[in-house]
Amino acid sequence: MQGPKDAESQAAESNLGDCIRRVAAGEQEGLRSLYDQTSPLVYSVALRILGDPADAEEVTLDVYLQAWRSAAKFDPQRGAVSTWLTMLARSRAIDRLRSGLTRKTRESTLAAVGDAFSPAGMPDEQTILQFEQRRIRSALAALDPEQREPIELAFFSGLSHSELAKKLGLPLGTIKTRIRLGLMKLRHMLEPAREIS
Amino acid sequence: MSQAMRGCELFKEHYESFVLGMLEGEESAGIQAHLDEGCPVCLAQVRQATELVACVAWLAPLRQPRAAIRSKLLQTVRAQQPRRARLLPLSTWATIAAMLILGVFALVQFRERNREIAQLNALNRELTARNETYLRALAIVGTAGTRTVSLTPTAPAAPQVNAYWNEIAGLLLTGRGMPSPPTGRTYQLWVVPKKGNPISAGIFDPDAQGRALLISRPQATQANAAALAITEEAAGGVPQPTSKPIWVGPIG
Repeated sequence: MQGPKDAESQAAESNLGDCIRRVAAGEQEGLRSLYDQTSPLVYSVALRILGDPADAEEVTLDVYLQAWRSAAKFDPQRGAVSTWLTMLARSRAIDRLRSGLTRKTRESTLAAVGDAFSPAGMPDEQTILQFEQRRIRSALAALDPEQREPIELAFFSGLSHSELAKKLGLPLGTIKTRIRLGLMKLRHMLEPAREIS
Repeated sequence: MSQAMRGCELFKEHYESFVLGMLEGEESAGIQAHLDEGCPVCLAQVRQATELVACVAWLAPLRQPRAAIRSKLLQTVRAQQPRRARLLPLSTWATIAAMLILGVFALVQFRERNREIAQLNALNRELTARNETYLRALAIVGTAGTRTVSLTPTAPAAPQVNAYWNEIAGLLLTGRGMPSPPTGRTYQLWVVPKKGNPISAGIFDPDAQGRALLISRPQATQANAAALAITEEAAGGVPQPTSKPIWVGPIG
């Protein structure tokens, strides 16, 4: 089923592409605009992984400095700008987590991740979510908890299959299956979820 | 089925886990090696898997970073921006410094040259004036009808002074080894007429070597002149002689 592609989301991604081009050209205004549009998600990903605002701020700063340095190498054919920044934030945050340079212990962070998502805990968003973003959140919320939990843990902890299986006390095969089926379902709900522009 | 396609088949259920970094050991290495071979199918699938996995980020409660982070980012970027925007590279500063030094040197040289030119101009004017004097002197001496008058000194050790008088070209007086008059005094040449008071023909002072040169146009004629005489007078000359002649040369 082909859902409507939100014009607002398309325009937003196009705008981000324009920002990256300006950043690549060395325009600080481009970086300012890119930051204003994407920093909430970047920061929130880092904060969710690291559990400490100061650590998350450092990762956020690092992500945009990296974007400033390597914007010229960004290929829009390989993915959306927001995806690039999101995955960069995740990667940097997980690296920081694994290196032990965080202010909180890893265990406490995992515990915080486990409690992070609950209907009662859904924040009243500070930013106005676009249609596409609301659709993604709805799709994630619609996943079975036994699928959503390992997917969420996998994304925000950087644990391997075996580490996750050990953590959740589940067989390795079960973890792999739940993650795979959960993501397949997510893909199905979001189709055409994130077309590469 | 080709080996490449077998690879794609093997990995097709693992793209998302690969993107999440969950694969371990040979599983991870296998996909990476397959991607490194540039398999277009798997590369496209990994891109799509990345877009899907990135959606999970929206499970994070949205928070705004502090405004200070934005400021710090922009400050850092400004500081890292190539100094060419604000400062010139060292080589350019070196060039500017060299140009400044050359400029100052050129200015000094220019002023020096100007001074030399001024001196040369002054010398040129002096030489031109002298040249004109010499030309006039030659004209007096070389013109037909010029009378030579020898002025004999009244003092025993003083040298002889010669005069050349041409009523059209003028009167030329030359002397060598003449003593300088006292300070505030000068020599004055007179045409002593046969009748009447002496007529001044000009004043002069010998140079440091005692050489004297005077060119004038006396308001007198040779026919009415009895002699030429030189007296010592107050600087600037006098209307009539105030002392006895030091040199006298009869015309006749």
